[in-house]
Amino acid sequence: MSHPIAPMIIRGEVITDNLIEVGGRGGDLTFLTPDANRYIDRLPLGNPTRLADLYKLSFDDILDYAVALGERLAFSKNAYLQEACELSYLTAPTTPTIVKASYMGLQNLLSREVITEMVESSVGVNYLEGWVRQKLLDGTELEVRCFGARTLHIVAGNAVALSLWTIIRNMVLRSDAIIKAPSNDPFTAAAIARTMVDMAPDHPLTRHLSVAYWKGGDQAFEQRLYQPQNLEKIVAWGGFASMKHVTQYIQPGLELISLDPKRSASIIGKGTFESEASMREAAVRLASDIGAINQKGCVCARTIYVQSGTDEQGLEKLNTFGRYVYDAMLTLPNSISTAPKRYDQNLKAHVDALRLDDEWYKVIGGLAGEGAIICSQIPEPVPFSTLLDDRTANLVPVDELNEMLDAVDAYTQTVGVYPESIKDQLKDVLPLHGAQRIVSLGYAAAMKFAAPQDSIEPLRRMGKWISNQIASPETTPAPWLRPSL
Amino acid sequence: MTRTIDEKVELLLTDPVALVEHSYEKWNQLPRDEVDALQLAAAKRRFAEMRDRIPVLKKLADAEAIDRVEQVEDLVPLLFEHTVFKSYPPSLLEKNNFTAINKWLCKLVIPEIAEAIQAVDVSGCQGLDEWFETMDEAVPQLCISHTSGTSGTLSFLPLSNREFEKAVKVRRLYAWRMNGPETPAPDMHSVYPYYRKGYLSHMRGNMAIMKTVLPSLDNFHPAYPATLSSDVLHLGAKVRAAHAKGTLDRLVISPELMAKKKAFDQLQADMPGHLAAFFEEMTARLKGKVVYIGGTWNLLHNMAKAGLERGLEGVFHPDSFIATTGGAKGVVQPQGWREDVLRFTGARKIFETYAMSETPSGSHALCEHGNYHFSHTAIPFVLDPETGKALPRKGRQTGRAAFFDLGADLRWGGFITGDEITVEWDKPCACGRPSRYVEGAIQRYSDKNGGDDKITCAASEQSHREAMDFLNTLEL
Repeated sequence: MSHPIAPMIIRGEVITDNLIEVGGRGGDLTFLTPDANRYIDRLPLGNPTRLADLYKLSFDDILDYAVALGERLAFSKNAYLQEACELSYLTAPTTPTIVKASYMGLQNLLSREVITEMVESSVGVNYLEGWVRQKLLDGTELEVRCFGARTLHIVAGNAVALSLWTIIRNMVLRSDAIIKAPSNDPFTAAAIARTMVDMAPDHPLTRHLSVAYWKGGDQAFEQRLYQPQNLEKIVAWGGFASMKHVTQYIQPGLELISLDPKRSASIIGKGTFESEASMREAAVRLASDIGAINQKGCVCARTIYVQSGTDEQGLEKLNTFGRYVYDAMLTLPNSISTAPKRYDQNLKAHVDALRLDDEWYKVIGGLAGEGAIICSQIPEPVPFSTLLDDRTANLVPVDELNEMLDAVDAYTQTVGVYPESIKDQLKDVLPLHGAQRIVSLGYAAAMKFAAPQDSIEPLRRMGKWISNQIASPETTPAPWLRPSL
Repeated sequence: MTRTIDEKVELLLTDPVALVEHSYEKWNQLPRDEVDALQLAAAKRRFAEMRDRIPVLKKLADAEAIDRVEQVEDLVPLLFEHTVFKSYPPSLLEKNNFTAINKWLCKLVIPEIAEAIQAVDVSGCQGLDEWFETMDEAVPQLCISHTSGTSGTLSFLPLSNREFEKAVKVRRLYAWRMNGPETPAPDMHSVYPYYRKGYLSHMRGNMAIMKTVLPSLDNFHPAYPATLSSDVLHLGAKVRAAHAKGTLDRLVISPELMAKKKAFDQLQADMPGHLAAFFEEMTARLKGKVVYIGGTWNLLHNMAKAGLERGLEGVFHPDSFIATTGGAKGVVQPQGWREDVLRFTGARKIFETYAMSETPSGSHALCEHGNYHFSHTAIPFVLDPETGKALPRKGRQTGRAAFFDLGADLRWGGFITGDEITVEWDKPCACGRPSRYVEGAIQRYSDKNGGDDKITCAASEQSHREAMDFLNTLEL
């Protein structure tokens, strides 16, 4: 059987020559892709003045392009996407229905209003369109503008939409992007790029996107590409090891924008237990935060602190709630959650061990690898809390709200809170402990790109902020006119 | 002497060296078919004895609806994962709640031992070292050992002194080159390049070996006279875990632990003196003698390097017995470490085995053809790493190693390792031993997958050092 090809796209050109075989670990798909070493000199933009063509476009032109691309990314009509989707079933960490739903949703990201909202709330359209002028106290006229940059994007492979978000961010900033496709999603970015090539082969936005796959950790290759004369910024998503790996190339002139490995937690307040209805509601919302994209996202809840109380009555409430959460998880729509693709065997060993001794932890479900809810019977998380994955979450009972702060540390991204009424008590304290995003319970997976991300603002940081000072001795005190001492 | 099958099974379980009339030649030549038949019968007996008497086993057997063992594969669903030995809440150790730890431990052992454990008052123990000491004294049948995990949680293994004794008698066959019960006991000495005592599983095994192979414990010559503190090792594991989680600032250090650190600093200061005395003892009193040296490869190598730097070579008698648990498993061993050890000690070869803390009877000896031959006292399994199901016991199979340790007499001996092995079930080894064997390198699955949840025996020294480094930052 011949292996599928993940093509390389360099600035409008689709390359399928000089193929080498990659992948195939642990029964995964083996695919062919052009040997990046053969094209390394063509991948970087080289002279940055070549970004100038992007500045002939207005923001409106960019939106027009985005909308036209959106129409072409209609899943039912796009053969590239359909093919990439089929192949992604084999490489993705999630299951086919989730992958397909993500592909079907891609075109929705390319709406005029959504992109405008994202830019306005994070950068401001006028800073991208031209110089924004203000007058300073000393009379200086200050102009500030946000320029694009030559950027390498190391995209995460856990969610299909990340490639398209990267492309959109690149377009609005008038940047030049090289996307290093992840091994567990080698097809999506290329399928979008090919659609762009078909649509407008010579358009500057098409000409400033490249997509390639190379094996992360190829030091000779990376050492050559990751140089300030080729790139100004690296945007990296990923796990601890890959992030550590990238940092070795960072030097003056080459900036790292790091979307670190993150975990997420939830906080369930006392009010939840006031009625059966609110318990049920919280259970469904929590199930969604745990189960969305099969818990493969950093946004997904793993350790959940529950103010059920820790006495016998409290534990009974907790265990009932845990059962509700488990039941709700099993009935989530298959477009966001299914039984996991392959239940982590290391995690299973831990969960099964707890099952043999239920004095301190009660395990609900998990026998068939469908995911499990572990209810701690003491106010502390399971010792293996950092391994929680594949729809396995840990509910931890506490008496007081402030005990829940243990849930939050430097790696915490999202904290889902229920009921809404306790958020005001928490939202000024959680960030001190490390929390970076606070959401109404159930909305963890509804990531908003108009919001800051991972306590940074990637879109702002992906741009180069340039200032122009306009001054003369008539308007502004001049340095050379200062008196001598 | 002709024995019935039942008598032989009894011996395999209680006194395996008697089964081969105390001859290492006979041990090595035990026929395959006989081993298979005895092991199956022994496993049946163990399961029948323990099924309803060890609470955790009963729970697992109930869940799997297994009431009897017909063939060895029936044991596979009943093998314990390593996680079983650390399924207690870590806070119990923070709070020195050893009463609760003991209660947890009771579920892993037979009722007689559980009763003995319950009867011990450990409520006043101020740390792991004190707890181990108290338990050793109060329940002498038991030899609780620990391994150190990077997740910050220690595994506790309820091993028995009896099982160590049975296992090291097998080792003695080799060390004494025994050819029958009347083989004379040599006047063996032992040097040990580390602490006198410790509760880490591999150090526990060492002590048992000393008691069995040496005429007297006075013949045991450790480098440091102290006890390796398990409290400090535990801190090392916690520091590592907290580093990974970014919560180092939340670690609480007890005054007792700080006191241990002071004692260690003193030892550190006295170290040159201890080492000088250690090498002095070797060269002055033990030169040319037959010694037994057991230890992790890095300890052996460090000793050899230090000795060679002092200009010492061929210190002991060529018949000396040097034993180590081989297989680097993710650790890069320096080139030439074996040669250094042999040059320094003067021994002819190193006796290497593949072994793990959880199955002390499963010490699988390396032959001259580079294969690890399974010990008769442990039933090996190769499991599919994805499904956990047993792979066929024929041909060549690569998968996760698991064992049923027949030596385990007060706990359940079934255990799944984290190691990937390749077993040759049919083809006999060129060395002439009929037993089945592990071929090629042994790898940890966790290394293959990029993470590691267990510090191997050889790395405990590093864990200790990390803890000390951390304590040093506190004093500043």
